[in-house]
Amino acid sequence: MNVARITLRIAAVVLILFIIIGPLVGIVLWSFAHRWYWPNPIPQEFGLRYWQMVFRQGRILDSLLLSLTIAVIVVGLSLLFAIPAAYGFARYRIPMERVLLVLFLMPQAFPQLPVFINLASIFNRIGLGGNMWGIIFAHTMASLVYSVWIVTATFRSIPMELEQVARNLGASRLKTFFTITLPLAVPGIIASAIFVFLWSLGEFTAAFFIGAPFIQTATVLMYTASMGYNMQIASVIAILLIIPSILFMIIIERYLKAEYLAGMGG
Amino acid sequence: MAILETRNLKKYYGRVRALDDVSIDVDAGELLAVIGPSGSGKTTFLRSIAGFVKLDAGHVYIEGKDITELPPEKRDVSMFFQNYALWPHMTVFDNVAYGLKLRKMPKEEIEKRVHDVLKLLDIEELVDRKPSQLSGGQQQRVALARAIVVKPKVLLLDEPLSNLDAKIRLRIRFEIKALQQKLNLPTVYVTHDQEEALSIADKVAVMHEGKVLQLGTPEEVYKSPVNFFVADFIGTNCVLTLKVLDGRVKIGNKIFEVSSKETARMVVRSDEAEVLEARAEPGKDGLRIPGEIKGKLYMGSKYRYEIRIEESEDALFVNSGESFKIGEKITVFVPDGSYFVY
Amino acid sequence: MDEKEKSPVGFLLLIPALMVLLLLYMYPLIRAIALSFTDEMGNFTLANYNKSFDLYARDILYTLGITLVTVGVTFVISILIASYLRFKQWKFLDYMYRLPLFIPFLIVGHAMRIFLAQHGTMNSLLTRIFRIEELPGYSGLWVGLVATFVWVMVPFSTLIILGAFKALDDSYIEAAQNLGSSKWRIIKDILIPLARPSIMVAMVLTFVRTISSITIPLMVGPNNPNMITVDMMFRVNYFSDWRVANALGVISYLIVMVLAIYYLRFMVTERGGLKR
Ligand SMILES: Nc1ncnc2c1ncn2[C@@H]1O[C@H](COP(=O)(O)OP(=O)(O)OP(=O)(O)O)[C@@H](O)[C@H]1O
Ligand SMILES: [Mg+2]
Repeated sequence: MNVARITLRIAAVVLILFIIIGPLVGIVLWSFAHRWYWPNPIPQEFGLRYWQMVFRQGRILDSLLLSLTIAVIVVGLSLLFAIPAAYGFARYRIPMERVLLVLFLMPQAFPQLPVFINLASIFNRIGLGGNMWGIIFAHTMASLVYSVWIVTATFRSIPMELEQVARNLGASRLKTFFTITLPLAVPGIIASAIFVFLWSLGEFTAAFFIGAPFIQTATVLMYTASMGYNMQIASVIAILLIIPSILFMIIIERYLKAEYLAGMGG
Repeated sequence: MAILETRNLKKYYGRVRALDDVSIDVDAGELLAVIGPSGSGKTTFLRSIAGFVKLDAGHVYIEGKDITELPPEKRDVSMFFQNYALWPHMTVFDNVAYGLKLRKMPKEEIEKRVHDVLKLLDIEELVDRKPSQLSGGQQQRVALARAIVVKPKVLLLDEPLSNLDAKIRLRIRFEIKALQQKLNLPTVYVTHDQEEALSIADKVAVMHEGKVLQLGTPEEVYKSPVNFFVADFIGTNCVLTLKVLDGRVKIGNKIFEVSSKETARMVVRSDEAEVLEARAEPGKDGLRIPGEIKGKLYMGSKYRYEIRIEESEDALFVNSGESFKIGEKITVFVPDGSYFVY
Repeated sequence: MDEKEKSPVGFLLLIPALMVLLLLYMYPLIRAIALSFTDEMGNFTLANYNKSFDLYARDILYTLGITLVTVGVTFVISILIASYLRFKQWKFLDYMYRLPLFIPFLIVGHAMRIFLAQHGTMNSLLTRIFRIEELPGYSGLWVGLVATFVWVMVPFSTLIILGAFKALDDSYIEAAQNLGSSKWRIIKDILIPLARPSIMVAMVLTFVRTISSITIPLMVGPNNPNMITVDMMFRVNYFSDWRVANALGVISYLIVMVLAIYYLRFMVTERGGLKR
């Protein structure tokens, strides 16, 4: 490699880092900033004060826990509904199969805001507004896309012969499902669980309209903090929410299929 | 002067020597066939001429100009891809015209040239079709048309017939030869079918493990193979393992001096060997080996005999029109020039 | 028994999930449409739409404009990255372009507010490096909004397009190169046309995700004009005016629907059918 090419390569690396990492560095700096006034490129005073505050202040910790609880329950519910449906799609002839599959795609393929607004007002009337379960139901509905599509694809990729051998040896359909099909589908199910978990954790719109102001998930709290120019608190919460995203992205690289990701990021 | 010269080409993939000091020239109008078993480096050789393989060492010259460092798009050699690589979103016309458009030719000229080449290959009526609407043989012609329409300095063909069925292969083989002669186009033709190579080539290169073992006319390669590998690879053969005593091997009526210590190998061209009655005297000079019929296979116009001989554990397989019984004592006759001992 | 089984059990298995969709998606959606066409007394009216257009015609156009510019810029950048990675291996870029994939939009919004503000981290770095006194801020301007959208859309659309590029056999590219085609020509003549269905998918999804996003315009968008999602939110939060909010919602649905129909028509004519 000659000098010109090395220079070009370095310039490209710097540019990419600046564009991709730059915005993230800003949050990290803010999360440690005690004092930061223009035009200093870095904060005048660093410290852990705001990190400590996040973990000490009940309100913030509560909302983080709330987000986690919601995400975990949503994963459970979503799989509970999706696994039977996916098995149906993969192994049975369903009338209007394609239409139904597209129906499951709709919540992520069309603007969600109108649905969430109306869901919020319906929930308000039946006492689910400002309630954790209201958010959970909304998330379960919207995340069925990931779970149904990924698990269907996973079931389809399992050769039917493997099930037929078990049936041939005398296993019932149900027995075959639990001893053969389900174990083989575990990687795909985990992948879909991760997608659903990440999506729920980062979801703002439903959480805001259904939950606020009575209960605040981490994203809603972060929004309030950021809009109120409480940059440090907002940044700490942002970092806490980004970490699982980046970790999981590295883990499930294999499952990065476009269809599943349509609504990621909310 | 040679149009294409390759000098000491080397390409290693880790410890695999895909090209190991290969130097071959191709003259104007000459067709060079490169043959060798799978993995011997034939494709690598072609792709290094086209510029898709970055050589570890060596140089490629076209018309005396060193093109080793030129990118593929500047080389002016046309490659025919084994899978044809016709672009599915373009019609036959667009596929063939693509290279001409890149050369910024005027529209009428492009149309004329495409028309001419399609006519030459007898596929004018396909001009508006998409590749998916063509048969394998038609696709093959379109791919060939696309390669030659730009009037390249050298034509590179990588197993051009391997995706066609056996019947049309034979015909197209000679069409390609005729076309190549008509255009007087220096051509490198890669194949692993030795019969195909011998029948159309002006010059044959036999490759093995990245090396060129022998380079010569088809007759030279067939009649005087330089080593056991070449002898065995070319033609239909049987191989006999023979014992060596005092640097000599005795078989039938002949004795050979050999350099190997314990065993030597003899390659016999099965097509040219004959089965004779035990006492028969052939009118020609050659090797006569007494033996016994062990097996017999009816093959339509001929029989295929498995023959046991005293000198070797290996059986000889010879085809013959005459009928012998199993267990019968016979003599195998191999004319001089159709057996090789190494 | 290689065929899929034909049995009502299959449909039964779908029922729970379908119920969730019907109750929690279809019902609110139908309610949204119904509300948008009625007045307080429950009578049919177009007043909500008239009001939407009176108040928000500019915002609707602005939303369309922002979305289309985002799609355009995302297209160019995604094609460039995907082409580069199709021709050459570069692990660094391969990881970097995907990094923002899962970061929630809200957080991106927050990060970009900090990064793009006039006295934000980007400018404090740039003013240092280039020794300039002041640079304009971009958050709160349409440029900042588009930049943020592009930042979150590119990973996803590149992922789809690169997938399609990688699925193309090397020999298609090499055949063009062999005939004298430059890299740029190959992108234009071979890669893009052959990957068109996937590129369409990427662009349609970029469009939908942009036009339906609320968090990003809320965080980095200007106060006026606004994207219609933000208008909807204000309608509900400040005016408790669900009907006009729903009319706006239906309008955004219709825009997406038009695109969806166009896309389906393209798929049917281009490929003679839908995927799988
Ligand atoms: N890109 C590559 N990376 C690693 N090894 C390679 C590569 N290309 C070729 N090789 C190796 O180089 C050797 C020569 O390969 P090449 O494709 O030239 O053989 P070939 O004679 O064309 O074989 P075939 O008749 O099967 O087409 C083989 O051992 C092959 O495995
Ligand atoms: Mg090969």
